[in-house]
Amino acid sequence: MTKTPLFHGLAVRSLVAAGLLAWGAQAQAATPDQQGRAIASSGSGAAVACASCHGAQGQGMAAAGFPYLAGQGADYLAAQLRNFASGKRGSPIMGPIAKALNEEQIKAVAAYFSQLPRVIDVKALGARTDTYPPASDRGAWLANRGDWGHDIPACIQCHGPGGVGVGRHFPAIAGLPAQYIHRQLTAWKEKKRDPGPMALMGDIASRMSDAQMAAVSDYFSGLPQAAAGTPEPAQGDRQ
Amino acid sequence: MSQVMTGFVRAAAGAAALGMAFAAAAQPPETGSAHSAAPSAAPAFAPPAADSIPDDAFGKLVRKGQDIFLYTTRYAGKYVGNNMNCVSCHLDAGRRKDAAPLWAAYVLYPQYRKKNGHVNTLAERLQGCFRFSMNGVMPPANGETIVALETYMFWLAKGAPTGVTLAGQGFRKLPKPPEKADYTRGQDVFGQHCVLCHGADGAGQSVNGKMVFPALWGDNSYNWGAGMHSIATAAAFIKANMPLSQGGTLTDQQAWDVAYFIDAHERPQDPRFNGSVAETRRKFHDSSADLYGQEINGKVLGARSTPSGPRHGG
Repeated sequence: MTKTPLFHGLAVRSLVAAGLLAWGAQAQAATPDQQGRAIASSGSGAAVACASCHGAQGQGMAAAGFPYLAGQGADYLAAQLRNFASGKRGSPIMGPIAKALNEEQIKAVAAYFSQLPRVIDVKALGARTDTYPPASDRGAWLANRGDWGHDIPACIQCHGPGGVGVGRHFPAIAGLPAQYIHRQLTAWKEKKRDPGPMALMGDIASRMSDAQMAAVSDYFSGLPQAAAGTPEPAQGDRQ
Repeated sequence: MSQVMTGFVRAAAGAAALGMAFAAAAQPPETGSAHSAAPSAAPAFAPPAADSIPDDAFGKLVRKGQDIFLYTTRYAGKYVGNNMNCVSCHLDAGRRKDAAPLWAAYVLYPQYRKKNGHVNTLAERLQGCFRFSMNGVMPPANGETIVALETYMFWLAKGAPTGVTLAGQGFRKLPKPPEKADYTRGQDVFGQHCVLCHGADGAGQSVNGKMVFPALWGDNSYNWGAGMHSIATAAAFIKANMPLSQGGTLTDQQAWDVAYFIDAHERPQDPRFNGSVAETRRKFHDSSADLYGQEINGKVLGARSTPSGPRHGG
């Protein structure tokens, strides 16, 4: 088989990439998966390694308020990187990093994180039903029942039971750091974050009070722990 | 308002009382009228706070009813043939005005209904919801499922006047659109405002085997006997409530167009189907707001429907 210059070039590039990967250096890998993995672990140019804040397994760093990325939808993650790069989603940390990535790299790294194992127990969370939280737990009420007097639907109506995320556009929110969730809701309300598909979150956050934001952030942040070992409720049982 | 109009208005109000399970026979004929009941004249009502269900034996059944209402597939699964829940259309646990709230429906029963030509108890009305909107089978009128739902409704309607159309009852009827509802325009509206959640195939989305966004057509949706298959009913619901949390943002025209588009798709058969689509249309669907038995894109709607009712093994 005669190698065309293009083919040859790709082959050389992949060899080089493999070598760089082995060294843990910044890399342009051959396959999107390798490329994504390389950016995640080693960064690319001005983009520092994602792992340095989001963890080696994309599990995030709760204490510092860095969200997990593992298992989030690829489209969602890619859209966030594009928004960071364009400034539609303002972030002094992520802005410069996203700007250093080209579209191919964005897609690759988003795809890479989307296929990493989830860090939340989707099954346990999905089985969690908080239909009757204590009256004082406003976060649980908002999350599961909404505040329709202010046209705020229950969070789980789009993010799914237990906040595990739904499909390509609705990310998981259970187990995200409370300060991260709160910051995002505030950013939407203050129009510092792109309002999202159909402006849904921008609209909703604009109608939320700060107390609601704080309460619901705490609720979802703590939900994986609360859901661990909670059995599916028997018919008609109270929580 | 003429006598005829008044009668029609009452029928329309009844139609919307529980929203979905109303069949096409009593759908309004063409008319240019605006609202089903003068909203200004209708008394306002607010149900008890959601967190105030009493902590006693009565409250226990209220909760059971609400559980069935929110998680119908889980708590009343044997009567459900799709993956929908009552709350899919009756938003905010049946509390939301203009989304066929339960407290407004409760006080309108027993009620004479043209659909079946006799006075229907609330129990019979609820059975209809399961038969049509849930594409299922009717729970026994005095069984736990119906009694629990009635109890939940009763609690929500506490203090409401009886026999009165309350403000926010049913789905607020939309005026006729400036232009005749149109499939292609509806498709555009659908692509812009509905696909994100309900999907390009209208099948909705589930996670962990639990429906999150309901199917708007196809085998997991309401059947051809459900009220929502009427373009007028769907348009009214959509205008007030869709996209979720953005109710009132679509124009009337957009609501009519997208309702037409949704209802121009196949769904489970009308349980009253007698073997002939034409005959079933003549008996139950004879309205311009109803596409059952009409030819859309070369296919007669209803002719390829999956039989109604729960599917075995599915």
